[in-house]
Amino acid sequence: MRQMRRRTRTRGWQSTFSGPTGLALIAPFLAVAAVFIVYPFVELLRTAFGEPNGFGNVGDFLKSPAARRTLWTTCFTSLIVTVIVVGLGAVLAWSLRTTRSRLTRMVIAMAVFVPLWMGAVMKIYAFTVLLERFGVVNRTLTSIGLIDEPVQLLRTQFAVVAGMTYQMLPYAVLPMYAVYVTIDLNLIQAAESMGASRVRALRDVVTPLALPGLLASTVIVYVICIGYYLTPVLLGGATAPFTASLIADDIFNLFQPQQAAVSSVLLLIVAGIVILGGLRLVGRERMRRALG
Amino acid sequence: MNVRASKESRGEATAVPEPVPSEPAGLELRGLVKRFGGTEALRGIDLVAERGNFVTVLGPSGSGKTTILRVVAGFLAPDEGEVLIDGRDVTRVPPASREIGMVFQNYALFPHMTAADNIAYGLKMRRWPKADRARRVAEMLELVGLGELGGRLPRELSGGQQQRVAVARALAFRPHLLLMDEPLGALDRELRMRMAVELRRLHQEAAATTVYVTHDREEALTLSDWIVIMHDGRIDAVGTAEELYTRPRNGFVASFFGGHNVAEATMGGLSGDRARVGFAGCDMEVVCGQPLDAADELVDLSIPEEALSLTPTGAAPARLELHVLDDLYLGNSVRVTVRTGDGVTLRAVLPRDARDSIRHGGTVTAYLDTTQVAAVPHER
Amino acid sequence: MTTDTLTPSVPAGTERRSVPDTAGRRVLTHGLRAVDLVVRAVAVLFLGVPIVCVVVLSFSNAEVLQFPPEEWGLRQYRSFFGSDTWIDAMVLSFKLATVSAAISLLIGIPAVFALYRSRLPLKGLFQAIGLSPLVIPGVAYAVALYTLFVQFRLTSNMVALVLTYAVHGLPFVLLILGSAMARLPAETELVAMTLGASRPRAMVGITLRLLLPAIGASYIFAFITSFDEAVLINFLGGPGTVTLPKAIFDNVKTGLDPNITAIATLLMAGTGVVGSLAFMLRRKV
Repeated sequence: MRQMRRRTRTRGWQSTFSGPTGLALIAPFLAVAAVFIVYPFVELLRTAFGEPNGFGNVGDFLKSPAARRTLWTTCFTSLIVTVIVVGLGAVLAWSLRTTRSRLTRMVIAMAVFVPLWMGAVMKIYAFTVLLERFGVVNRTLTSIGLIDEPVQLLRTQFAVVAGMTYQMLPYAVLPMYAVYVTIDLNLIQAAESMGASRVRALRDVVTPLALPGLLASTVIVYVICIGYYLTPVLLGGATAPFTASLIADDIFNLFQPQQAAVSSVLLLIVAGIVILGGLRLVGRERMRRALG
Repeated sequence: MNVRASKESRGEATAVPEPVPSEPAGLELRGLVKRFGGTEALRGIDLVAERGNFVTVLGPSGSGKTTILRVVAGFLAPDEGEVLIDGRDVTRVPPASREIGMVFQNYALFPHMTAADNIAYGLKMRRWPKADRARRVAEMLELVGLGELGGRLPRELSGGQQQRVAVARALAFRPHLLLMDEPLGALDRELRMRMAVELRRLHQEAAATTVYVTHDREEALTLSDWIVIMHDGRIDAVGTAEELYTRPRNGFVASFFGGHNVAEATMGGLSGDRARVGFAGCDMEVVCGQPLDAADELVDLSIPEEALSLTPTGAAPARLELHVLDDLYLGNSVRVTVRTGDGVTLRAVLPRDARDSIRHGGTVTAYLDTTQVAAVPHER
Repeated sequence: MTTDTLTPSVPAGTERRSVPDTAGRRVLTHGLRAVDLVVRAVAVLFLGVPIVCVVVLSFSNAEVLQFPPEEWGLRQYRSFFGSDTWIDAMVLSFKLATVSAAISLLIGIPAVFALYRSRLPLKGLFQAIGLSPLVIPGVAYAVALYTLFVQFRLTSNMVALVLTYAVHGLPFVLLILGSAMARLPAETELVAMTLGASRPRAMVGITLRLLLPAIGASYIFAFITSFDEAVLINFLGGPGTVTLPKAIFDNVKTGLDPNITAIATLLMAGTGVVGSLAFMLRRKV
């Protein structure tokens, strides 16, 4: 047999583009991303850490007890909302996955999907209608005699938590459902056939399999919560203001964009820590899937 | 190059090929080397397949058999070596111009096109006139027995039917070469054997040189003119099914292809292509799978499972006292595991009536038909 | 064949035992079921009540919001369609969303091909940048864009706003189209190439064709996202740019126009229809 050896083309005709072609394809994306994502954040950081005190700006900002309280309110309230959303969402998604009743499935699916069809401001409008002084909730409660006088519901911490939970819950259910779909339900029966109770089977089999996905969802929910603007501004009260309200004040009333930038950077830092923690715990692919 | 020319110019597909010096081979691979990162997936592949032959590339997973197919198709370029189809060097030619039909394990039918449109795709790319196209598609649908189903979408067809569409699509434009990558792997066992017979028929009618990749030995036996056994990026053996079965070149071919026992024996001397060996206390003369070195002290024996029997058969049966370790009743035969006096474990298939003479844990006298045994180089 | 009966010897301590069916075990199982039912009911009510209220109120003929309505009718719908302010806001939102979602696709489709079908380096980084608007705290992103808009005096600049919205819709294109692309069997394109199609032909005729449903779905998602966007517009829009969400935002701040119940109901129905369409498209191949 002849032994003719020579160098030939090292890549086959795969259905992939070369690096330069790929760069050309992605160039428009990179251009807009540079202008509308990367550059604004560079500017934001420059504003926040620029005049008057550089990195000292953050320290100066945090010297004010009011500012510290705002940041704390934002982080803590978001945590409460996240816990509620993940808790309710996990149950709803699991029901959606396991129920054999068409009616249950339909009701839950509708309850999850229809709020998704309502825009963010509409949802807040609905909550205002429900919670205002002579709104639906107060009227119902007085008419059944549970309270004598309308109570203050709007512009309270409660309104913010309810509103944010309402915004987030449907978004949390969908990726959680996607996580559950990957779990073979026969595993539960297998565990039960070996003598585990239902609770035990859920704890030993479903929880470990679902946990990374649920954790990813938790991280995403929390990060979105601390960035909420509409809900705290429209439903929140002056007693426990959110960072978002402070930022709106700084920009629209006090004309202190530098202060707003510092607040924003603090939120970014919190979000960054939480996301990095999430990436550490569950990895990039799961975080990506939790986005939808 | 005229696509249709190859059909008339080739001989009987089933005949053992007699290389005609003037006619170039249907497929020739010269010194193919393919590296992925640091590992060599192909370590120098040389192969000639005569026109119209059905060549099966058989090997365990990771042996490089799919890599060969992808290099021939052009999806991968070899680091060294050439690919020739009908004598034309196509190493740098894109897949679209290689005139090859390809069938993938998952069929890769276009999900948005009907069966007929799938089959017509290659014809459309070659700008066949519409009327010719329609005629050819009808002909192909008829050939694969799907005459009525041309209007169906792939998802409306069963696995076996999808398979037929994939084959019809690959053959419709009369390719020089048909490549199949485990095309029956996704089907259940019964359908697989039926489709294998079907593929054999289609190959004979289409008369294209065919390279078929599989890890299933039964498919290889059913289909092939020639079988190429791949192992670790190299071609371990090439031959007809019969040659590879009765005279394996080495222990790997014996066990992987033949399913034979491979057992150690002592070398007693060579005469021509025969060796005298000592095995289980008996001296016997057996054929050599490949030329052996008389200086070797040890050889391996390839012992087919059906070479053992309870009554003497063959020209020179060897008498063995065997200890029965296990037995499995298979309806018309009995599969037993036995141990020789010097501790070698062998598998054997005995006729059904052997059941009465075999006792779990007992001993049995059996005869080894030495004409079925082959000696191969000892491996450690 | 061999008739020896098996009498396996059992090591001490491994005798057969059954799982006890204790009362505690049953209480736990039934308790779980009860908790599950209650949680489900609360969650469904919580999600359903605000929507039902808005829809019911939209059919009230009263000039102020009152629940339950005393007089039913289509007054809210009539006065919404008769109001230039609301209609103008809606038309502006519609235009913005139509154009910006189209730009999202124009930028996103080639980007997805580059990210999934090329040997481009740094794919992970580019992907992360494209998806980041989804996970950056929204208000921080708004402030960042605000600094950009102030610096280059882009407030009230429609082109800048449309591009911002296009970037806002991009993550959906990347996610939906990306996952559809990853699901496509790579062999279909390879097979097209062996059948005689050139690489661009296989790419457009097979791959892009198979992605069409996903492209439709990502357009719808990007459209809805832009149409509903209410945060960025507050920071970037300037006084002249009143989109529908902005108009509602302002209204909720100052008082509660009952017309909004009609708008919300109509939009919910509309979004429901196209949203379901998008969902169906995502499942299709």
